[in-house]
Order: sequence, then structure tokens, then C-alpha cells
Amino acid sequence: MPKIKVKKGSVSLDMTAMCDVAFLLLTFFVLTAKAKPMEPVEVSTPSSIVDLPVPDVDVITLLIDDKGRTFVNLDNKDNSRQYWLDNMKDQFKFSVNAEQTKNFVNGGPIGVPVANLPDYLAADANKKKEIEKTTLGIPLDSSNTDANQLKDWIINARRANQGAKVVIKADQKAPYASIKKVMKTLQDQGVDRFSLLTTQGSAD
Amino acid sequence: MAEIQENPQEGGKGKAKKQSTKVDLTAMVDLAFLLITFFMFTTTLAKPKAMQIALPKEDAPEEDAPELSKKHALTLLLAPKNVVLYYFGKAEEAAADANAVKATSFDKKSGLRKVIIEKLKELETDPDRANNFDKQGKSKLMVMIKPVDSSVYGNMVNALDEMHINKIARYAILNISEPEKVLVEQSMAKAKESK
Repeated sequence: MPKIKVKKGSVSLDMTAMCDVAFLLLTFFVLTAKAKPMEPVEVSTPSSIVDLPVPDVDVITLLIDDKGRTFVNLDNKDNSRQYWLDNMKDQFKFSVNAEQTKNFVNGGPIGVPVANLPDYLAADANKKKEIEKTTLGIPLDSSNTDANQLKDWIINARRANQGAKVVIKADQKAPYASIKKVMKTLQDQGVDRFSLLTTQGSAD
Repeated sequence: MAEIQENPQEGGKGKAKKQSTKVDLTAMVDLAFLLITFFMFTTTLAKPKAMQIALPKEDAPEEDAPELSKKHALTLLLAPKNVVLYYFGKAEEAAADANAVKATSFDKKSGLRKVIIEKLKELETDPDRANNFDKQGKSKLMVMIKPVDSSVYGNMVNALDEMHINKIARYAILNISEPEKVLVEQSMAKAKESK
């Protein structure tokens, strides 16, 4: 009887097709990719059926997280963040050096009281994270107009970019009390129309 | 290179060695998939959408407010824990009548949507139908959304979303009044008792 010979299969596979697919997908993702904007807090917006797109530029974003802390952001179109900071500096009489200014202009949402702003801008990445975790957000005590710094941030942002629209990006668990304060602040400045950021959902 | 590595023992036979055309692609595929994973996690495929809202002018005089018939008013009180209290007509009357204020939820079948659809149907089949629609044929139903401070933002957006789904042209977000706050508290207490 002849010995049964087990055929030795080759361990090398033809990878060409797999490689093609992988690069096709890669190309797709590279072309469609748009980096997530860095935000100091994680916000999961509620879903709705509306499908109006949000503009990328000329927006003042008010970020409200699930604890009701408020952050404010303005996109840096035509260097408007620089003007924004200059306006705030004039009003609150604080000074920042070139490094801090650069950090502000290239940075994202701001959620600290103005008094702590220079420290926040000077902080390194780790300390920045620490501050963002512990901050109570921008003070917006609606009963005391002096303490409502959100008002000043918005006034100065609108001065820096006159065509800017206001968008509220709030977490679905954000307490209504803080939303109400933000809306009241907007209304006090004649901002009656604004957008609420939502993710696309279906009706049923 | 081939010339250098040539085996001297072959003694100038002049036979060119046949090289394999296969290249090991494993490493390349690994790299490609790594990059795919990276881009998949960093992209945001679902673009955020925006819901436009307009708040009424705060300093608008009371007389300018559109006249509202009792029949066309629906008030939603957004209470905590995803509860919606609703009543038709005037606040004073609802406060006086214990059965006027009912509770519902944001459930997609049996919740708020059902309430609105039923009300719209009622206006549609009303003998005085002409009075329930304006010149453009839109329903005159006015929905007033009043969230309490302890409710969450998601509920407000849900309520606004119902307005869009049911194509209600007239709605507003308003501040809750004191008697209405009491109503919410009462219903919360009732819900606790029944538990």
C-alpha cells in the first residue's frame, strides 16, 4: 500500500486583493475625514428629525455639558479670535503675553472665569485638562449682571465677527435651569434666533 | 546585484536566475488597516444638524401677543424624569380642575405624539372647522412648552421635535408660572405615592 502523503499547503496567501480593498477603504476615509474638533468636554447632543446643516464658520458655539457648565467658542475666521481676545482684554483689563495669545487664538472653547484666563492659557496640556475638569464654566449669574461674563464673551465675539450666528450645543442631560440662563443671556442682548445642535434621528 | 552574488561554481553558464514576481504584502496590508482604523475613529461621519428656534421678544407688550382662543391652546409642562404634563385651555381653569392636567411621556407611540395627533384630529373634525385653521390652511393649535428648572435639555428638544414631526406652526418656549410649578410638584408627589 502506498503511504498516504499529506500535501503540504503553502502558508503564504495572495494578499493582493486584500491590499486593494484596504487601500480603497483607506482612500475613502482619508478623503471624507474631518478631524473632530477638540472640545474640553464630552457632549452628547439629543437627536431630532430636523436636517439643517450647521455652518462651519461664523458661529459662536455655546457648549453646555451634562452638569450645566458653559463654555464659549468662536471660530477663527479672519483672525477673529485675536480681536475677540483684544476686546476682552480691553474690557477686563488683564494682560497676556505672546505665548498665551497664541494659545488662545489656536485654542478651542473657553470655560473659565476671566480672572483665571491668563493662568489657563499659560497652562501645559496636563494642567489644562485638570482645569477643564474642575472648572465651573463661565460664570453666568443672571440675577447679577456684573457676574454674567457669558454676556461679555458674546458681546465681544459679535464685535469680533459681526456675522456670527449663535449655536447652542448642549448635552441631552444638561439641566434646563442652565439652558434657561443661557437663553436669557442671549435674549438680553437681542439674540432672539439661534440654533440648537442635534444629531440626526428618525421620527419613529 | 545579481552579478555580484553569482555563484562562481556555476562557471559562466550565463543562465539568468528567474526571480519570483511575488512580493510579500502582509506588512503593507497591516499598515493599511491600521490607518483605516485610525481614520475611522477620528472622522465624524454624522454631521451635526441644527434646529432653529426663535424666542419671542422679551420687551414685546402684552397686547401684541396673538389672540388665543381657549380651544386652540395646549400647554406642555416638562417635568423631571421624562414626564410631560399637559392641559388644554387656560391655566387658571386647569389649576382648579384636578382632572384637567394629565400626564404622558415621550414615548413614540403612546406618548406626547398621540396627544397632539388626537388634538389635531379633534380640530379637524370640529363642526366649527373653519375657525380652527388660518388662511394658509395651517392649524391654529398653539403649543406652549414650559420646562421646569429641574427637567433636562433633552426633553425640551424632544418636545420641539414633536412640533416638527406634527408640523405645528405655532409653538413657543415659555417660562413656567407659579401655579404651574405647583401642578408639577403635585403630580410628582402623586407619582411617588402610587409607587
